[in-house]
Amino acid sequence: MTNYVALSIVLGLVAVSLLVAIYSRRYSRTAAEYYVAGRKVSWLQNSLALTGDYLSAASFLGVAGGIAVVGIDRAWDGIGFFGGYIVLLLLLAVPLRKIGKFTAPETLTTRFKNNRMIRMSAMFSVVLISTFYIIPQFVGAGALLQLLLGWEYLFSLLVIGVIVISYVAIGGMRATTYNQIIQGVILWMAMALILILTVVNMFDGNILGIVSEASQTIPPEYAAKELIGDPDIPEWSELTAGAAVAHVAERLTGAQPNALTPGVFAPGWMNIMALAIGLVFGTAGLPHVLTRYFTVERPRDARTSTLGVLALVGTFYLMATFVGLAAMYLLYPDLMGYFLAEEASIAQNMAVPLLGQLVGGNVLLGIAIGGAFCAILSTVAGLLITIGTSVTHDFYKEIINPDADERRQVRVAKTAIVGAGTIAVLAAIGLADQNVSYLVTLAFGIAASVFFPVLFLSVWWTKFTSQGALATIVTGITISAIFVLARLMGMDDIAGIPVLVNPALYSLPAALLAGTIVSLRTDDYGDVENFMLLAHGVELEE
Amino acid sequence: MPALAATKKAMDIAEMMDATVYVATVPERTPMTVLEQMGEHVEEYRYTGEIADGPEVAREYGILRGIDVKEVPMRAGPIVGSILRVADEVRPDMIVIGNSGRSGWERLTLGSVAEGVMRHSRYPVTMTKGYNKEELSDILAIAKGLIRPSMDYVREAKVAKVPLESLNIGKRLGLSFGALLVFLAPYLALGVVNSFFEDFATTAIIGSMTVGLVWLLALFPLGILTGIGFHRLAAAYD
Repeated sequence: MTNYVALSIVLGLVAVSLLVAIYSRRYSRTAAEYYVAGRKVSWLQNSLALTGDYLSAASFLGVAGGIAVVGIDRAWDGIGFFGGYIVLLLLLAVPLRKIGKFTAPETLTTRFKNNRMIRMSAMFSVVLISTFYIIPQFVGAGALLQLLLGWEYLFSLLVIGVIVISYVAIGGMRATTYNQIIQGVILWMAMALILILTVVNMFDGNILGIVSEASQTIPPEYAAKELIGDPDIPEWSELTAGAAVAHVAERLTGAQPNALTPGVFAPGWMNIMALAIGLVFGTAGLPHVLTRYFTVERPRDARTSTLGVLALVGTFYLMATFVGLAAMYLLYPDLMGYFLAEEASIAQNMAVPLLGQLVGGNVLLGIAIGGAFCAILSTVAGLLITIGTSVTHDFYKEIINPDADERRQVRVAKTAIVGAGTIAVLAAIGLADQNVSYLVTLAFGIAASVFFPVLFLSVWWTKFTSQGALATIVTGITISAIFVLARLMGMDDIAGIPVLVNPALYSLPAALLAGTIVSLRTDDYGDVENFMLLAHGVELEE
Repeated sequence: MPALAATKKAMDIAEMMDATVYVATVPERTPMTVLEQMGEHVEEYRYTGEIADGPEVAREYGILRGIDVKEVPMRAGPIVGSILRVADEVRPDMIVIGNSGRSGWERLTLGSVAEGVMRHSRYPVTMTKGYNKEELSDILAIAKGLIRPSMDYVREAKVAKVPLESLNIGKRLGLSFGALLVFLAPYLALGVVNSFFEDFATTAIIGSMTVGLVWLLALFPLGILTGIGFHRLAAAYD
């Protein structure tokens, strides 16, 4: 049973986004008008490109989808993804742009000249974080195809994996920026459309109606766990939302959480703080976000671009929060049905498209799925390009073959892209039932523990040493990777230390501490004078 | 290569007319990552054969031929538009432009600058098409000597040499931290309220909106205001 209406809209939307991108590139070359506002356009373009790059399947499907199944705890994802840009803006954006290097590892070796250990460990971290970030994109894409075409998850995953990787490796590696811009616009509009239609069609135009229904609803993931083995399971698809909510409330007596109760997903202060810290410091450590700052024309544009991003993603997550709460109530029968039928991969991530279908029929289902594909395409492209750049520039050209010409470098980059993409697809097979936004928060946790501390200390502390930098990277990556692995394997504690929803509560302070202590005991400050001048100096007019 | 053909043609004509050659190269300054730009260059190489600094080659070649060459300072922008704008400033007797001979996908996605200039120009346009390596051998030799280093994509900011102390790193960091606190304090405090004061967090204040939800939603505008305020203050250090 293929949904042809939705399918053609999805294909149409993806095609249009690619065509518009191509056309705008062509226009910028061949337009006869010369607009003086070119520079202003450049920061707006950059904001949109950053937004398109940043808003991934996690933001589009995962935030609202996560809120729909566990409630308000998952709204931390949205506010944390947003707040991350504030940390980036305040602490790193302008200095990093002024230093003006291709990759985060190269920024470090601008201060600690010729330090291969730092360069290599940083390159390894770039690849690890970015690959880990790609995995949930593929999980989301697999579930989308499953929903749209009724294919098996594994088959869907392989198909979409091959398409996306070849898109980036063959064509998309050039001028993806334009695609990011268009896709950023599509994502924002799709979310707005779903929210507006939901409020108008289902809540008589009163957005607060969403909250009042949600406050009476027991989160479905929690309820499904409680109801396992319950003899009185209704035919969910025959119930209305209200009836399904009432049925569950009747079966689960006593004090029960609702959509607005904190602690359902992240119980206890340690879990909540781990999530909050991992998210807010993670953005400033994400290699593909940092890479894009190097494309900003002037250093001060790094700030204006970020302000644009804050406005765009801030409104986006605000909308996603309400969409998620509305989806919990309106899709209650569907979500309960999927959970109890052990189709968690759909329940976890498909609330946004399902809500689209409910309030806007197959057309909006198509728009929502198309939007999600755009999100996935643009983010994976950005990530794969970052991996390709780092492997080529920080490893191949630095160590293997310093005389490599551009053609050779591009070929190496493509090989790295295909390699990392393939690994991500394989890893996505095992993680089908996870919420994609949750998986992304784990990547944020690692980024918050590696690049945020090491870049922060490098840029702001004159007494930071090369040994300290290495200690920061190694400590951050080791502790965060161990705890992420333990979490995914379902372990409760490691040697008595509880495994939390995010590793950053341990690994970020540990990395900062390791860097500080080692730096105080060593004295290789690197090329600190020139580096600080670059990072903080007053620019000369050209 | 097409650019070299055009340059040579322009010089030929200028020599006959005893005219001055104005050289214009428009950089396509779009927000692209390094790898994207590198991919562009590799492709460009397929069509042009050489990547050298155009105006520099023209200047050298002008000296060789004894022709007056002037370089026009160019800003990045739509390429055709930029060329036409320069034309309006220079008021040339003729524009000479090279045709890259792109076809298929490349032509579809990039369009043709030469065609755009021909269509919109108010001045006569001569377009060179194709090239003969032997005919171009003299200018090619110059271009080969001036091959642009492959890695000049990201420019380091040019900064004044001043003592480290005068950079006010401490003050800047203080400003950043202060601004960060404006956002981070209520952000982390929400975590504390959610974990230790659940009853307070779940008290309904506006309709069914709880303290926790209102707090969370308020963080978004607060964050944007923090960003704007910081941008204003930080501009003092630019």
